[in-house]
Amino acid sequence: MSHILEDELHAYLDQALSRSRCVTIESHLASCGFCSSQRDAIAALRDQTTLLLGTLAPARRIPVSLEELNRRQLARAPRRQRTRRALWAASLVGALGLGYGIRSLGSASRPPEAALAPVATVATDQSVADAPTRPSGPGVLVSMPASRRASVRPAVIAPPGPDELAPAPDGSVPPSVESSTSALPTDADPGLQGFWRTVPWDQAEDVAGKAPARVDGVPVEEVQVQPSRAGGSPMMVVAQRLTSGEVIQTIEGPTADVSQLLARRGDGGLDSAGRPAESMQRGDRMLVVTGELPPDSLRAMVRRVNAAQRVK
Amino acid sequence: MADELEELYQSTYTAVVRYLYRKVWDADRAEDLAQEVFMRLLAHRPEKPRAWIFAVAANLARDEARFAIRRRRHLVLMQSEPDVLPSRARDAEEQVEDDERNEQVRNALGTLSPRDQEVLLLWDAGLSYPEIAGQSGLAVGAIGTTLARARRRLVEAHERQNYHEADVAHS
Repeated sequence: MSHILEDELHAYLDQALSRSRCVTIESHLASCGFCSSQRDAIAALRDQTTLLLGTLAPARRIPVSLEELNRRQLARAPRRQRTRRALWAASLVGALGLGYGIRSLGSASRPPEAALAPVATVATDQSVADAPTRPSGPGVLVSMPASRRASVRPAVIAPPGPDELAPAPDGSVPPSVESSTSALPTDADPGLQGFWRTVPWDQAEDVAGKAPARVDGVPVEEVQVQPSRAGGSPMMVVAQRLTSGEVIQTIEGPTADVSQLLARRGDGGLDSAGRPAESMQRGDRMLVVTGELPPDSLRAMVRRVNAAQRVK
Repeated sequence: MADELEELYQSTYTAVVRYLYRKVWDADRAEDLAQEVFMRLLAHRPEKPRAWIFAVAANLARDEARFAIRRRRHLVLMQSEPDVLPSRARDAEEQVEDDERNEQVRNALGTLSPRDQEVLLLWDAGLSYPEIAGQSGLAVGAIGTTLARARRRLVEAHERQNYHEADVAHS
């Protein structure tokens, strides 16, 4: 038998060989002085390596118990979720606010963009979503089904001020505004009762005077517009259905009206998880998004808004 | 399962700390990272926990290296401090000698290629040849060759360091 290779002797000493191979090697070592001395040299090298590496060790300390690590791990999981949720909400509000601000600066001459683009952003321009809408033309009164109203829960809600929550006097309702089967107001609140016009997305701008804010990349279910009682910008509600089936709404309008609308939904300014409400406000206008956006939409939205910022 | 994990923790924790220490050269950080490894283990419960532990430890050490430049100043400060408070009885001269010896070995280890270093450290941490192969991407049959080379180079580099130190001392 030829001599045993060096690397195999290393493996032999490291007990990394099969039992049958070990027996073969040991038989050879018993009769081969050269390989036997090789084995001894490698064993010494191995020991020396262990000794050297042994000096590179931190001072020994009493390790934390596994139970303690388990406690920490369990405590960390919800915190991570909370942090992720908070970052998500903050990003969403920030992105929406930026888009809202961009639109408020006035950009009527922006070129149209592709409908339902794969990226998501707050649609503040004249983008046209060829999304499924109800077959109702402008000016048609349509009510939102109660089942949908129930499914919509506010995730970002403006905390209405005490004045805003106070019911408006009956006299504030213009004569042209009449009680109706309005889509969003669910209770009898004279302050916000009035026409809610459900319009297709591609006609929303004509009816409202400007393109309603929405989350791009999510099909638009319907757009509802209520003319302003004071003759200013109207209140607009864009309902969009996520793939999960949940409907999110982007509500934009005079701060007092939006606050009252939210207050009338009965959640008291808290979302379904009981978290404090958040919203974006610019001047006397307020932008609120209800429901939870999918994270990919949020990421795309943030990318898009950041890209818009860079261009500017 | 809990008992197995406990046993694994008892038998592996020190090796993981040592393995990480030789990567990040900071005893406190090595402890922190080792605890992080085991917390992740508790969360994930992998099928082959032992190999998984060292794979995660290697990844954490690699991530740590990415921040090495930013933390360099801090690390220098940390390394200049003892890991534990020296006992009063401990001779300061002994401490200096230990530090010098450690520095020599560390420098010798630094002369090895990253792959040789990795294989040697994993072997010293107690991983089997198949486990080392799984983590390093080498064939199992190549581990013996790599270890043979790494051991030889480490010892040779250390001896060169010793000769160099002796020359400096004499001159």
